[in-house]
Amino acid sequence: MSKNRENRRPDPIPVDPGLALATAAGDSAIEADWTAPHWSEGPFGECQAGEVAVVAYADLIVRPPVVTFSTIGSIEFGGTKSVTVTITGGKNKTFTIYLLQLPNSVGGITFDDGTYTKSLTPNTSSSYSTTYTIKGSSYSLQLNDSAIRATYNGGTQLAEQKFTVSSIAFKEDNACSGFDSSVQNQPYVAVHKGGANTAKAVILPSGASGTFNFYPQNGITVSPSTMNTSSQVLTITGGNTAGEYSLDVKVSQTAPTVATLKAAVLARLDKTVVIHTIVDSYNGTSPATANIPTASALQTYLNDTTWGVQANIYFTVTNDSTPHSVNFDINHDSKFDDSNQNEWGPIRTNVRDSSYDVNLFYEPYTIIDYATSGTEAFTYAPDSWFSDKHHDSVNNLAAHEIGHAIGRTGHNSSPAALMTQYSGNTSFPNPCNIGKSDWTLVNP
Amino acid sequence: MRTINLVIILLFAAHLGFGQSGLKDRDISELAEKIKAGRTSESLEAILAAGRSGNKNYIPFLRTVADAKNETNAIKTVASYSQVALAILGEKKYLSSILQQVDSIDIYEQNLGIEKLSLVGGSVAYKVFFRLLDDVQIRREGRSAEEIEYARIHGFTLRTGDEFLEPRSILVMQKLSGMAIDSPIPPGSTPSLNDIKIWKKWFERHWEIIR
Repeated sequence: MSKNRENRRPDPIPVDPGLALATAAGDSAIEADWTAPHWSEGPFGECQAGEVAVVAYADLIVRPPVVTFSTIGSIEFGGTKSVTVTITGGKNKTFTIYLLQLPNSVGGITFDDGTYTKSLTPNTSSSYSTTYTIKGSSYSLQLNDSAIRATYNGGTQLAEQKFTVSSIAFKEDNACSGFDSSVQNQPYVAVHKGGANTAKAVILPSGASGTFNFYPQNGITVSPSTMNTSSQVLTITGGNTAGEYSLDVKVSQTAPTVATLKAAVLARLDKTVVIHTIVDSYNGTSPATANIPTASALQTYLNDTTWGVQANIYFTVTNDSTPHSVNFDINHDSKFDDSNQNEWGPIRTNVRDSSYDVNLFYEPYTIIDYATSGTEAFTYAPDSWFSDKHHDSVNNLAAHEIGHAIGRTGHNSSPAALMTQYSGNTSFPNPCNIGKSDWTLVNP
Repeated sequence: MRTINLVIILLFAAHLGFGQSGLKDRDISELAEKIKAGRTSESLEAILAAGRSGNKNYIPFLRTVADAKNETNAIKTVASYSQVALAILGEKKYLSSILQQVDSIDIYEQNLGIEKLSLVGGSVAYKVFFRLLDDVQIRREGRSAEEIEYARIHGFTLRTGDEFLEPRSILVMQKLSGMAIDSPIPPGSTPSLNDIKIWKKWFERHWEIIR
């Protein structure tokens, strides 16, 4: 402890470090420490938080040195920012200025020379300033989780200023827009060859700021090429060569990459679909019209919501207006046995129109083990069979099965994906996202 | 940096390759450059060409690319093609992995394995495809106990199992017609189970391939 005391009385009352005390007799005895952060302005003054009360003027006032930092706010990841340190009352004393990131943060920010710590010894008691450059070499996970601190005398903290190292994350601009965030650490967006799609760049953490630039790989372009707002919608335009191209975010050309969006430029494919109505020839049972999509509604859903806009696969849907009477319910149990090729096979054999890429067969019955399997429809590419059950809309179910029919084997683990293995998920009704694992298979 | 991007993997992989042979540094860096864009037809062809070159200096580079995560669920990916190239270059681990895929219980893995093996080619592919000519069952996706339980708990309907795949014999006949110079079935045509006997006769004429 550094101690200054004026001894008018032989036995001043000992006090805790950092506190000031006046004696009852009126004379002052002051015992102070450099750790005292602030002093109130006079006796009996109302203390502010962090201040030490002075109950009487003393003959000797001891004040700690005062350190201040210029405002930092946010530093971009990969960028730099200057900070000015000003010290008053610290002549010939050595101060330590250092950088740190608070708990729950990652990595470490540094000064521009790669160090974390600076020593500073003012040569004057009056205001002394110096400027350092801080590098945003580690991004913040939360606002103000980074700090610059000044200490003296073995660790006594004199000042601290918190700040944030901002970064960028890519998000979908709209639901079902061909944006895929399910690939670990690597967002993707589908872009039509010669066309455009949008995605959103967001500065993180929320409340941070910065200016970032976008550097697209040859094969795509992006607009705008820079952003300085918290959120920016980007338009990514595909060139004439299909493939995957990187869109890097950096503070400058030579700075490290903050984030990368992969743009999958997809060539256009065109497919044809026909809808058939299947009647049980044994008893004349027809499927309910509510269970069959109309050609126009299905075509719109396929092109404007799912495969067209998101994977550049466009469909022409035709309704086969003539119901087909087929003896497919072999055991006449008014159930459709999907495990028995003798039940679904005759429909394909008798009705399939090979002039279309995909045939959809709508029969009137429930699939035999629906109660346990939940199967509403199934596909044996390139054709699909539909029962009288559908948890999601008839268009959504048809778009899912058409996905299988055109080559999307297996399912997508995302519950928001059109090709999810679950339906009836009330959190994601009519899921319609198409992701990388989908378009890679159907539009390679 | 939170982004693990392909460029870093490629640069690292290219660095590994540089140590192998000064003369081949340029080949490896050219390959790395071509596949920076990911799965383009040019990059995939370049990977296959590296495998077929017989140049084992590509192996360290290709290993790194082949083992990249999130790139292996389809045939036309940099990872899948790199696995094929490594198998062609004689890397037993990758050939073994492909053969395991062909006989996986997962029907989609089976398809992926058959696709890869057709690109590997050679007698190992012909042997496996000859065996699979007798696999004439339509395949159906299996439901896992976890999926069924998850669906039950949440009140969802399970779509798993809503897809049938053709018998493996059909798939291998498609591949054989593209592999064999004197294919008895026109390449690109859709085979049927009736074509099995035609292919078996073809194998009788080319018995040395699978001997």
